[in-house]
Amino acid sequence: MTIYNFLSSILSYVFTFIIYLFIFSVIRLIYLDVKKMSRFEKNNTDDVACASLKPVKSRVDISSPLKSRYAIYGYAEIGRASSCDIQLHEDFISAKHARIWFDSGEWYLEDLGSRNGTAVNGQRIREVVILDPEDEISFGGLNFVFEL
Amino acid sequence: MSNISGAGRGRPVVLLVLMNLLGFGLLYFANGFNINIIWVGLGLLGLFVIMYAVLTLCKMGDKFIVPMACMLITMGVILLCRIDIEKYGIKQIAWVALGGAAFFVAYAVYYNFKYWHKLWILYFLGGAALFIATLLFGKTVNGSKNWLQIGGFAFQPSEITKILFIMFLSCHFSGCRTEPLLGLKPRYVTWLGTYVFIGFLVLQRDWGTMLVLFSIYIFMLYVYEKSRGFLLMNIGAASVIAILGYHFLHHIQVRVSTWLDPWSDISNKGYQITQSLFAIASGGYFGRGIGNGSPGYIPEVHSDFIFSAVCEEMGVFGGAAIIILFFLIAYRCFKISIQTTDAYDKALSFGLTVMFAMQTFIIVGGVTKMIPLTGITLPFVSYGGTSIVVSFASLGIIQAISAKSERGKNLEGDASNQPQEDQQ
Repeated sequence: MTIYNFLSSILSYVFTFIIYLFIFSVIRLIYLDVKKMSRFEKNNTDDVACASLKPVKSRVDISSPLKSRYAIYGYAEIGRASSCDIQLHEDFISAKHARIWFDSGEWYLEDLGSRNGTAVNGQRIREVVILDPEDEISFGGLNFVFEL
Repeated sequence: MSNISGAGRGRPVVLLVLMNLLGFGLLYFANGFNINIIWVGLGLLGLFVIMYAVLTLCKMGDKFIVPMACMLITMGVILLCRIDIEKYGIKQIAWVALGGAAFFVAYAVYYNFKYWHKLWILYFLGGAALFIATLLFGKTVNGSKNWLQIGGFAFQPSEITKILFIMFLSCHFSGCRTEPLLGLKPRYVTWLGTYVFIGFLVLQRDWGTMLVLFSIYIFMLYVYEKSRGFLLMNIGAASVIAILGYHFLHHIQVRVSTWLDPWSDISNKGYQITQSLFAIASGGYFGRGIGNGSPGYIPEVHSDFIFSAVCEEMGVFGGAAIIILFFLIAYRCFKISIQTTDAYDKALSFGLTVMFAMQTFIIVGGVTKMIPLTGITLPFVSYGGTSIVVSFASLGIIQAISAKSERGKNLEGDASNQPQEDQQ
């Protein structure tokens, strides 16, 4: 019986450990659950990479005023169509002009076969390019500065 | 992100299984290699695994409440098997199995039936009928007449009344019933209903349940009633009743005097509470180990005073773990109550949560001599058929509410996704 008493005293520490580990893991899962839900409620702006396009002086004439800044949450299509995330209602912008997205630490820009083309720092792009902060992007002559 | 949370999903259940295996393995040695212990442990384990599997596979709402309740039951059953396996342990397992069935039945019935908010008169009459039946045919145990025997099957009607009472209050507080009844506004209907129920409980001398019902009423009033005057009036009335009760009822005077000073009459009136305090003190931080303590000295250790036994054999940390688990259950239930959009579901889940929380507060406070002791069971931990089954059934209702609101949200999500797909 003394062996049992000894075993039981040892196990009392084990039980305490298991119970608190249980409580800890439940709290952790609840925490993750709540975090996921709050991100869902905030419309995915919390954990997603953010960048923005800031209009700068262009040589083309524009028909409608531009916003002071266009935010990009992880992925954005730029174009005239209403399905685009950033809509630019100009004649020289194609319906789907270009797209910008974030993937594993880098921002990418791709021209979607637009008529007037897309240029980065004055260089017209033919393929996917990696964007750096303060790059100047031109959509058919309409200039923006890419900012993080 | 999804990988991290995916890896940890099943961890609480693994720990629960480990706790059961170790606990019942130890009890197997303690009781002289009684093979019944193994069957009891395996039965309990099977029940938990089935409940958790059904819950996750069928996506029945919140996944955290049931494992936490199962942990509480594990601690309770291990203690009860250690106190007396034949008398309490095996019976408790049977009650837990019945409770598991009650959980799913309550879930299915509450989920599929849609007119709960219209049946307020049935809840009131059902509760009153149970009270009257108890008063007429009831059996007196430990000074309160709160047992009803039908055939060979005895149960406590006041446990069932608690749920009926919460449903009755929810009908009125949620605004599902607004037209006056016999010239009385809903707030006075609930007021009258509450005091009728409390009157019955005074006749039965069931102070614990009375305290639970009244605190549920006060909490719901605090949440739903706009005028603070009405709330203060109720609290004032309760204080007046309490003072009158103290002056005229010997029963309550004894309770208060043993609370203030149990040491002066240690061999008689203060015996139970002082033994409970000795047990808690002898446990220390980590407890003396299952089977090493002597919880048999405390009268009613299997039902009301189970918390003292937990403190003695699993230590203050074990007792604190029980309180933390109830805390977390209450938190999850309040969250379900906040998330759901249906007014009646909101009120009902809130009331049920307050019931769990108040019951825990009243009995844990009572056995640790923080408030005057009133006999009431600790949900999920104490021995008691009606208590276990009713606690599980209320958990089933909360689970159904959670499932409803979660699935409702998914439906909305699908609806808002549809137009986007059309455009592409």
